[in-house]
Amino acid sequence: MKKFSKLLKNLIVALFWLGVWYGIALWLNKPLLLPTPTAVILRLTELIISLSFWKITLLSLGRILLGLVCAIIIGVILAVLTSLSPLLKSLFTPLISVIKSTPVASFIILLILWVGRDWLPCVIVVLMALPVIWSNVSAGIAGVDAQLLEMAQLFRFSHWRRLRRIYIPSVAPHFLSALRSCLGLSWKAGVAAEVLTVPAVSIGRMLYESKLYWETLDLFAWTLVIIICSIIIEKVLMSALGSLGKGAQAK
Amino acid sequence: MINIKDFSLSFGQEKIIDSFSLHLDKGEKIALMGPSGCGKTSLLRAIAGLIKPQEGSISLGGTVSCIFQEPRLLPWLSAAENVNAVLSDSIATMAEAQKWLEAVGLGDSGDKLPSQLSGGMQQRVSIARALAYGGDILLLDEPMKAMDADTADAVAKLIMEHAKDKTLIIVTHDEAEAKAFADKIYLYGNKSFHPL
Repeated sequence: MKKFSKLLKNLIVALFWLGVWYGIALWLNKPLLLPTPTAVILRLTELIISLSFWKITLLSLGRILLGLVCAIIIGVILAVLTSLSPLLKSLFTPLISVIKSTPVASFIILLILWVGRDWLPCVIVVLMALPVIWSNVSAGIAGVDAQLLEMAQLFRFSHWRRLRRIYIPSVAPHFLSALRSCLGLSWKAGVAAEVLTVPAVSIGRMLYESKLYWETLDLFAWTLVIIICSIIIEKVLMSALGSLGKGAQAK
Repeated sequence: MINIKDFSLSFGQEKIIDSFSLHLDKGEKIALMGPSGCGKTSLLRAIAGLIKPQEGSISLGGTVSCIFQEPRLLPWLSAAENVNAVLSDSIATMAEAQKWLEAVGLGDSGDKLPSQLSGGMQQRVSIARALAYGGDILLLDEPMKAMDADTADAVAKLIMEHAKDKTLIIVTHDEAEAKAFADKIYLYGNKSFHPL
């Protein structure tokens, strides 16, 4: 019942904003500047039935997800290493700060020369997500309860048992919160990189071309695709990793 | 079983314990008593191997189990899983973990998380964990702090039942508790512990 009323509330909010959009579009009456939601949905259904739509979406999705997976692997390993070694922490902290503060456009322009246009969005996602994953996982490791570690030392927990019973449940809430932030960030940074580098098959190329040919309807339809993909991936990932977060709830 | 030689402890510039030595054989039971801040918990932690002695040495002739002042339970595991974590940590010893919980009067609470238990109940889970772990030496750091008198009596009996052959050191403020667990009481004075 609670779930149903939440769903109903979300539906009402969505309908309200769609109504606002519809009202403004009708009032403006300039589809080139602001098409109506119905026109966008109709265009989206046209796109969905074409094979190229799925090819474009899946390739962009693949690049962004690959970048995110690489950022997670590198970020977690780096967080473990810098937590273990103060020397490595001193070495990597300024580097991560530089990556965090550098505008994404600077990276795009620089990296286009180094990695080529097809892989650039993937590398950009790594660079945007890595500092978030690293800092959150590092904070999680630093926050592990020292009393629990003493207890584990006294009862001679193996390394594996310490990892499974103390470190993973302690760090999981920090990791999940980083992942949640990174999902949105990755989509924005990845698609921005695609728009600027225009890989042959990509959502970014479709956005770029819609700007070039004044296809506002396509711009809205592809933006909707990005939003839907982002929501679906967040829901799927969070429910798949949901059991990891149980540690935080128990606390 | 336990050999402490010239153990010294300082907090900052101030020396709290100066050259304390003690030898305990298998099965001996003593209590350490003294005011707060006299270093008795630090001494216990050093015996447990959790801190290194600043001066002197400590050698042990067996494995150590400990009941801390705080329960120190893993908040994401149930009571039974917490006990099982010091056993094999697999399904094979869950029945044994449950048996230890029954022994401390928490047979019905095996599936509850620590946050669903009172402070006294959490401490009883930590006692079940320490007893389940076994070991030749049992260290107790004010173990009955959060318990009512009846529960404390029952748990003390249980600990003593399982600690018959173990070497035991209890740190406490309560003289009655010290007498219940120990054959000999060491009282703090002149920067050391002296037998009463």
